[in-house]
Amino acid sequence: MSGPEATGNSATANAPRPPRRQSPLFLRLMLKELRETLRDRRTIATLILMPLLVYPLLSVAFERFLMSSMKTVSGHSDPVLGFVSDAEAQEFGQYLLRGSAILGPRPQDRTALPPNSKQPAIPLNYEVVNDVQQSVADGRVDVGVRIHKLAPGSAGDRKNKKGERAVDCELIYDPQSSASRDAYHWADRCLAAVNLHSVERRLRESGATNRLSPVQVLAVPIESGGESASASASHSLSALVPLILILMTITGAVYPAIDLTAGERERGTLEMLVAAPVPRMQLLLGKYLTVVIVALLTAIINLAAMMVTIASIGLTPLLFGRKGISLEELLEIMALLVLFAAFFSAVLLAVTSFARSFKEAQAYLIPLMLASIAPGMLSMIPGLKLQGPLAVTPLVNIVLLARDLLQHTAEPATALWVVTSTGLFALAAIGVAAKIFGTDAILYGSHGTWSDLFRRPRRVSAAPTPTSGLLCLAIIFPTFFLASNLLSRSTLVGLDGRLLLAALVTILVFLQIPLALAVLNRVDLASGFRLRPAPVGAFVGAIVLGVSLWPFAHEILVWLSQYEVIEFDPRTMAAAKELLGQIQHVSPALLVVTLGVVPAVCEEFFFRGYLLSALRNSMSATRAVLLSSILFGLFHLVATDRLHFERLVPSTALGLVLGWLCVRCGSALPGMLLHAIHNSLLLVAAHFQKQLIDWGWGLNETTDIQSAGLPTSWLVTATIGTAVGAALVVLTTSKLGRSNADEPPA
Amino acid sequence: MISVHELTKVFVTNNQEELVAVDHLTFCVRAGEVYGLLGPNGAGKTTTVRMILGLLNPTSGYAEVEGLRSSEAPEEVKRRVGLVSTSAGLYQWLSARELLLFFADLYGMSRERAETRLAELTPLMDLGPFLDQRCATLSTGQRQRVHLARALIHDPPIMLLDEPTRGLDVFGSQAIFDYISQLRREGRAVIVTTHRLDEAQRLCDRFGLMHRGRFVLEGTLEELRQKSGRDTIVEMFMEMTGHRQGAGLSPPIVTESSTAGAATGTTPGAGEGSSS
Repeated sequence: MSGPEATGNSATANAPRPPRRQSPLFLRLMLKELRETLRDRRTIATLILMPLLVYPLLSVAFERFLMSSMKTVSGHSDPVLGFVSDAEAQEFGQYLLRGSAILGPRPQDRTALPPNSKQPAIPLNYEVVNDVQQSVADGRVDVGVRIHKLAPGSAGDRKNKKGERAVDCELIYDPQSSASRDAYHWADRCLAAVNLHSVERRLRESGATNRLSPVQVLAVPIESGGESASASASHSLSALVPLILILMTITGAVYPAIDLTAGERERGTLEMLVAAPVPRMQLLLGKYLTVVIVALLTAIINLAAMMVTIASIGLTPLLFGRKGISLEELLEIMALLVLFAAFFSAVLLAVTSFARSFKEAQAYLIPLMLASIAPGMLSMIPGLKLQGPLAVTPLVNIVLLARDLLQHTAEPATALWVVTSTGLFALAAIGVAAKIFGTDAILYGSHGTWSDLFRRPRRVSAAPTPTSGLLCLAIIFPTFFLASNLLSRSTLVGLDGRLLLAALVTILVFLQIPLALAVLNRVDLASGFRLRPAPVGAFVGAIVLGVSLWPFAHEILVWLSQYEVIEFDPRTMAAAKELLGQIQHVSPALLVVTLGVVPAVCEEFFFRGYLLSALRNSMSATRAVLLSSILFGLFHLVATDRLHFERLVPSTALGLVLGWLCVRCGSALPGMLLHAIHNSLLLVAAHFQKQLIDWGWGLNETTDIQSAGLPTSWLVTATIGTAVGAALVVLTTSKLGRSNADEPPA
Repeated sequence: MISVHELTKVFVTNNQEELVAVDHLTFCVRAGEVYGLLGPNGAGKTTTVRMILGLLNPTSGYAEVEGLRSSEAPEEVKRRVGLVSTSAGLYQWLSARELLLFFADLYGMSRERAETRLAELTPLMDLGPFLDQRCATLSTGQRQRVHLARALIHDPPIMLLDEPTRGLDVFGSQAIFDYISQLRREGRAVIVTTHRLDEAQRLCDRFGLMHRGRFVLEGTLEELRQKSGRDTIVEMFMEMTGHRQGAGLSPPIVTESSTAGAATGTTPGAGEGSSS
């Protein structure tokens, strides 16, 4: 090397600088992305111009559709009759007005009339036309009236007492037009009423005193009035509102999602970004938040434009009922749109991350958009209920929940399932995006394909990635929900069979899914699932803890109930009592294996094995334990089709103990033992409840949880047991140091 | 400052065929030295640069920057390196100033420091006339200056310049070479890939002549002359690629079309493109 002179400005002295503390990098990235995206005229066009143009146009179509629908439903408009002369109209009109008066006002006209009004309900609207048939065909009049003059001196050609002359007429109407049909039926009813009235009067005049009609009908319209009359129409229309909003939100998210991934790659700016010292996940998060925000801005502008349009054309009562839409409901819809934007933006980023060009991304997204419309349309089906598999079907569940919110029929448990599953799907989609975004195959290679997603890494890793952990969770939650729902509705097998099937489902879901992901990602099974040996003392400590912890779980329930933090759903209590009655007839061994040991081992395999290891890769032990415990608690909250709020706190607390034990020992095995003993003890106690009560060991049989507190001696014993168990664990694991326990198993 | 040891990259194509893009390269670059990585398109120059920066993982071997392995500590390496890539683009809707300050932020610089650094670079790169213009409106030469300023904004000790003169006219290219000389004077270690061999000969302190992923010649100009028996890099280059020169036809610039044939079979896929 020739010796180039180094000047006083030595570059090496300037080199590495640790990043300074400020707002998170992904937020700074997001701000830059937003600045660039919002300067782009194409975004502005989608964001502002589309809603401004689309809704007025839609409202015109909507209004016409609704007006014709309202005519059909209620015959609300006044019929227009066609006559060849004013004289005929005046003559014939009298019969119609009389008939209308006999029939009484229609329900929708009542409010316009004073009580007991003898005035005709509808003023006669008519037009004088040359050709009545042609004017009906042209739609100028609803019904044409052609009057046949009776021959002078004929039987009919004389005036009655009121001076009215009898007439023969033809009512000409268009059967294809609902308005014409309605007008014809109205005129026909009026004239029939006049004829009947006339016949009855004559009979009375001739001395008939008996009741003349064998059947008399009193029509009783229900009092909810207009709201109910158009209920089905408005319900299907209120499903249209979230569908339109969701489609518009998708429209808003698509452009930035493509531009920030495939577009950046095509323009070569992505290379500059990945050449900077920014973790890929931060880059992705910045882009993800940008897409979510643009999608939300689109949603807000669309929601505002839609509400203004609906209000301006007076459709609010028809769409949302007489109460209209409250601010609270509007906020709920908005929250749902936030959730949807979070989910769909993640899906979009996952898809567009595969693309190497704008065109390619568009090609990927067209089928996705079409696929999004199809489930959205499902929500328009009247009577479709948000339950079972639909509650966890992406997109459909959000549209149906929004519909239910608008119709005031949403159920909290189902809503929570929709929120949880959608959130998890969003996490899974981000996980997929993180796996492919900015990888060298996508960034530079021509050979990056969808199969890269399933390509096994070359090296074995000691622990799953956080992405993989969350992806696993996103698969497990809905799968378990669906399987449990299916099982609970199964009537083919008895209780024993159902218990065995439940155990099988637990094994398949909690063992097989993480195991498959671990194999796919080439994760070392022993370290990835924390199936490492632990000191004997830790197992002894786990046994003592397993025996000692249940009184605390029980007391937590009592406290929560006493302080009215939770209220026990009577259905839950009834179901619990029924279950208690049933399990007393099941073999205790079967109970312990299927409901005690299997769930304990499987749940520990996933929550403290796979998930905790995955989380530990990106956060401190304390945070990882806390997060995994909350997820464990949430899982027990929503594990079935009913919300078990009472299980949230005890399960989270148990999760904290199990997480601590796992981190302490560096192994999930003692936790499995603790969990199994804890479960089994409760099951055995439930099975032998009567015997325990007979022996004076059990609690009283009260179902009132507030008065079911344990005796102080029990709590003292449990406290001592817990302290001894914890001490044993601490003492026997202290030699392990932090190398086995707290260090991430990277 | 930069140490490359047995660096190898094998790409697998869609047909499951293996393409060796970089084949056991070993060289080092010291502070204040400009190293010319020369070769035809598809020789593996860009792939080498990307592996040094940690953008691509090597199949075997390693690259170290100030003792840090790119594949093991890519972020630490990136913090020490400035990259000017021929395939990089600019953010169309940001001004040059906004773009440079954004990248300064990504490299962890405070706003004040970034402003100061930008003020230093502005006269050096002659950015003043277009600093507040949107990048979409800049000319090719101006864009390249913004790229160079972007790579220098965090004042890195190491610069990787991948075809920095591509698409520039004579004046633009000369300006870039002047800046590279400035980088050497400032004591930075620089790797330049270029096909302007005559300019490279005048500019670089040492050379690595690549063909099909391998070095065919490596060393200072004197060492290359001794090894090859040729006087100029252009002659050495033509010899090594098997191209016969017509009498008296010693092209000052090896054009892309004259070297494209040599790239056949070594280009690691279309994504690698013509920039290698």
